Amino acid sequence: MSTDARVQRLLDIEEIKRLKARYFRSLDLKDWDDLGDVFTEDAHVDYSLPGSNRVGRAAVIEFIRAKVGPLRTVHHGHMPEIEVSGDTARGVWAMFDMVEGPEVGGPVMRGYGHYHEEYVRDGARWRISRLRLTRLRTDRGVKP
Amino acid sequence: MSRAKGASLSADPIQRLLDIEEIQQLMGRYCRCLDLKLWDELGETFSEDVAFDIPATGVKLAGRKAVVDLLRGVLPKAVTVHHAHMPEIEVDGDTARGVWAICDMVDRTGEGGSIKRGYSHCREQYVRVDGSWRIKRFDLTFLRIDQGAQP
Repeated sequence: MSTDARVQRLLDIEEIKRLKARYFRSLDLKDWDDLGDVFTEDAHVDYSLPGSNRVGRAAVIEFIRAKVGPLRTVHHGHMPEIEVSGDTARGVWAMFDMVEGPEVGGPVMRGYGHYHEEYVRDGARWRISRLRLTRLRTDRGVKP
Repeated sequence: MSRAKGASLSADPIQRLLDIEEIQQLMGRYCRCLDLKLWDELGETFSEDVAFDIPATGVKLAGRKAVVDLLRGVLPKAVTVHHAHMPEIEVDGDTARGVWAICDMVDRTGEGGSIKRGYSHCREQYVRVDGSWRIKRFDLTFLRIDQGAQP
């Protein structure tokens, strides 16, 4: 691999890590426009929940907004395994999330799992074209 | 982490960055395969002669097969989560060293046991074998182990 190609690979991996950080941040801050910008126009997502199989940026954001809009969420991604191949890439991230409703005594959930994703280079930047979330474990409790 | 004898770090800085990235992904793969119970793929993260120590549990093993057999044997029913953070990776040619901060959870309630949440450091050594990095030494020391589900 040429020097330029090797540097480009490192930059692409870094860019995809930043993309996913932006996904988590805009999700938890409920910045829906910014979150939509993370996905390709034809993105396909599957959160392994009933009705979560969505195609297209608008449908994806509509689902996420309806699901977590009224809730307080924290999402963290760890240990990305990112493989770049030209203008596409694949990645796996370990995930932790915490979700709670507004009322004391309401449900609280902590989850652990993996994001399995595909990315596409769109001009000068990367976007998520496929996202599938699988869960290892979900702890449920009551908000103190 | 001390640097080995004024070591000649990889002369090519780009290669060094690529090696660090690959070693970070190796640890991601180790944790993913462990938690998803992908035992064959987990084996590929180790060198043939890996040394694997977890003193808190009395585990001290040598060789890829011994390590995979142990993990396959003790964790089949447990639900586990392993997250590794803040890697300090130092590459020197075809070997490397690293330290990771680890949070883990092992839930054995499905088999009448308990839930343990641990905080530890993993000191590792890596070796490049046929162009791929593998874990050659794995030494896990705990800061703290909590019993019970997360409050």
